[in-house]
Amino acid sequence: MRTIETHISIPKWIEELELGKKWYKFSRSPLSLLGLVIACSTIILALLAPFLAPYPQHAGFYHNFMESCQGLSLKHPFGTDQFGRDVLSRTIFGFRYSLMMAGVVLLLVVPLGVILGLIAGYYREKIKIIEIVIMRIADIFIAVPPLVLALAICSVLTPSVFHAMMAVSLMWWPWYTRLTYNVTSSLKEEYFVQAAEVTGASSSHIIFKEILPNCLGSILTKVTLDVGWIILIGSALSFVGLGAQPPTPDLGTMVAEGGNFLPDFWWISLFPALAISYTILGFNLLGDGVRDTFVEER
Amino acid sequence: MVITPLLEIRNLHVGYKTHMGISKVLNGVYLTVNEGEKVGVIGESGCGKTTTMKSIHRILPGNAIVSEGEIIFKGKDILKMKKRELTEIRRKGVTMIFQDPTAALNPVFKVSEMMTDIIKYSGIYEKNLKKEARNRALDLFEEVALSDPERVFDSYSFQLSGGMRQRVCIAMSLAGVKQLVIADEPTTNLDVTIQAQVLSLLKSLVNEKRLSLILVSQALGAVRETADRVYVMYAGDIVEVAKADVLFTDPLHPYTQKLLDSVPRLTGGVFSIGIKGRVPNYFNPPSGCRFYPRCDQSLNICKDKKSPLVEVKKDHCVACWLYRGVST
Amino acid sequence: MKLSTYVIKRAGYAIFTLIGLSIFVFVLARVLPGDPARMAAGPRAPSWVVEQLREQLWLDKPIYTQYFYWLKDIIHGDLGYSIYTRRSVTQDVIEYLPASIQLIILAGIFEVIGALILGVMAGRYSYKWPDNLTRFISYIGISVPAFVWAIIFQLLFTWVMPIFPTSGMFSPLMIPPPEITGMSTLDALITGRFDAFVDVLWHMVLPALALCLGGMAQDARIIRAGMVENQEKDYIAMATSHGLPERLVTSKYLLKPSIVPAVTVMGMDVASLLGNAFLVEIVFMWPGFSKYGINVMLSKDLNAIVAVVLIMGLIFAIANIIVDVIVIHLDPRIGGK
Repeated sequence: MRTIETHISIPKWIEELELGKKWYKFSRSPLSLLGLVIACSTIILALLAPFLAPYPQHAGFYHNFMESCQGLSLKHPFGTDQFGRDVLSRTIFGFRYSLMMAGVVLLLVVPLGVILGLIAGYYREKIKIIEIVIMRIADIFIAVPPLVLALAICSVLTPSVFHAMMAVSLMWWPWYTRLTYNVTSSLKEEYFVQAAEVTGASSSHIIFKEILPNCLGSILTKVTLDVGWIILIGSALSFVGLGAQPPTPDLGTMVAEGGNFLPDFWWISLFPALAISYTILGFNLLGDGVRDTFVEER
Repeated sequence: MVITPLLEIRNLHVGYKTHMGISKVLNGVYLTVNEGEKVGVIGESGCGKTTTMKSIHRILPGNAIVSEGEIIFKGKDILKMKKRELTEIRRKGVTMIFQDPTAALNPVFKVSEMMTDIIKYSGIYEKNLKKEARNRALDLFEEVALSDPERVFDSYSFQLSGGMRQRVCIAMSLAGVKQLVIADEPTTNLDVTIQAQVLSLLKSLVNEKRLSLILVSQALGAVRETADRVYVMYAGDIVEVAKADVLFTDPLHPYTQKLLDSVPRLTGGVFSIGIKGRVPNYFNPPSGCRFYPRCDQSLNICKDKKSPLVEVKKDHCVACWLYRGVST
Repeated sequence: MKLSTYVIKRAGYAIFTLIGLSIFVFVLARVLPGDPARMAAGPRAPSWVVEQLREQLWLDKPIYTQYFYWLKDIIHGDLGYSIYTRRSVTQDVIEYLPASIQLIILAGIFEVIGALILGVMAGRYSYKWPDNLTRFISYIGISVPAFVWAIIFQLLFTWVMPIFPTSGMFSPLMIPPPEITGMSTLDALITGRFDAFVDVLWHMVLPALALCLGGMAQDARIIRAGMVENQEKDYIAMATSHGLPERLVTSKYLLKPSIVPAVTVMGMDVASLLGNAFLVEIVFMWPGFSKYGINVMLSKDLNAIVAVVLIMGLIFAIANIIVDVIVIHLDPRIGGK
């Protein structure tokens, strides 16, 4: 006896996301598409930096004073810096550090923040103390401008890329907690959640199967927009010397180093600065597109 | 004797531009209001009543397109007027009471702020004295039977009840010397208990000031009591016009018949049936009579051609081929 | 709820949060490797001096006792001793903070005015060229970080068109007004030194602009979105239908509800102003609290770092309360909750 059935069946929850329809909605906006293209291009540059950069060895500790501070030429389209390193190569490598920063921070922060937010929101009435503890601790980290506390934390630790990531992560999780908490608290009043509760569904089922899928749109939007913000904060930390240290080809560090050679050798800091803006612009446009696609207007 | 009507809408076509295309809502509306007359407009929701009323004041949303037609008020076409003339009409000619008083009152301003501005620009005062405006506002509030005028004057709209909000809106409408009041479902969003109060207030004010009235409503009983003549509107068309008592006792158009049938009766033992189907999709409306897909008595011709509005009995017009001697 | 009760409640809550923050920063500064007593005494001080200092700073006691004494000092206005400036941190705060505050206030003013002009223009002429222009400006404003603006302004105004000074607070030949409040603009006005006032203002233009452009761009977009949304509201139709002049409808009945969402996010804008000040003050050599902050951070001056964080938190909290009061004033519905 043989039954014929398709073995590759799309899980129901993926179908429910209606990705085809969402993509159609997203692709109708040229700005969103532009954002997608820019964001993808920065990711490709970051991943393939050793192959795309004309002088990969210039990314690290390298000097050739014969060629220092040369202007734009075919050999060095973005010129060279004070050590004779190719600015184009270093900028391409710079995307790596910026995106790695954003990636690591978000990987740490999003699961942690979201789960805390879900718990705090779900147990808002049932176990008040959980909500109070989580949300008050979150408030403490939101009470200072994020850049200020990140700077302070980095300064008491030894400045490095790793510590910068830790400091920014410590600043960032409360925003996800707060976002998920707000959405969860309002979803709890919705009929579908109440119906699930009445029928005796378990807490974990309600949290992860009923509430979480409805938070995903807002979370995804915030993640996309945050890539830009984290890159901004990361480059700011490096800029003042409390993040990545030379000779790391971090974009913020490069802007700061080049700042000493203004205005004569403007290319040393201009191109890394443009690269920062390019990345932030891309993820902002993408984030706007994601919001228009996934977050329903109310 | 020929009476020149106060307001005459002729062949009005209005559509809305959306991302799905143009939705053609109004499909040639005709409507006449004579001096001192009270006209009722009935029909299902979503059939273009509010669009018609808003076109009279030219306050349609930004994506609306008036493609054809005339709206003649005292001999002049409102649609062709310059800004200044239009403002004059808004201040001194026609006034409008909105469907939802909660949405119509600005949430971040006190009643006093809006009231003062409206009185200031209503064109009856030479001087713009604040005190004078306040007194006038309080007088108006007394007129619309608001119990505590002083308090209402200094309140935000969210501090008032629904009935009070609509009374405030009526008071605002009566701030200047007006000739025509358009009341667009003035009681739909109110509690059932105060609907009658607000309606009778409106009626008595209109009578007292000898104004003309267009009353748009889904409450057929209220229209029957108030209006002299009634227009029946369906999907952007006027399908029937008659004197109020005639229309309600002897409806001719199949739509009117069904609409009146759908009202639950105190005497009957059965539930009303309602009308099957729904208002058509305006992006791609039926080509002939727009009621054709829902009509039990439809003829072949209905599918392709819309019947013009024709007087079949005295003062009783209907847009239906059944009354034009067309054979099946 | 009355406004004053609300403010008191908010202030109490802010104090509670700040205490939490101070515990966090204090612990962070104490548990780190390194001997605070040795750092305070200096590397070449004899060991008995270090021991004496350790006792003096309560460093031999458990950490919660240390915190308790530290908090007690703070309540008395003593923020500790700075290794960087070799004097009391409180004195440093008094000297440097006013300069930063006046810079941030000016940046805030620029931000509000710019956002209003751009946002209203875009909202009023939505989908026409002013809207597209504003959108373009906004995207540039959002994607260029404040410190990059600072560098661009430095370049532009030092070498291309030197209309605005690009560093410091006074021109070289200007004699600063005597210190009364510490804010040089106010001092100049109080003492009638109009020339000094103009000079300071002139020096503040570029750093303030560099600070505010990002937030301005975002606020402009929020105002624009609010205006476009509210244009279709019934209350605007009603105001028009009563024959109110178009300009009055736009500038009063449309504008006020439309700016509420933008004002609500201005609390966050204050955060970005305070944070960015750290970078911008460095580039423009502005003798303010943020520049001091960076310097103490780079020299690991723990007492001063803790003070900087707490004072930034305090300013942020005050700014947020002010923003909330403005929001309630603009939209009384919010206060009713």
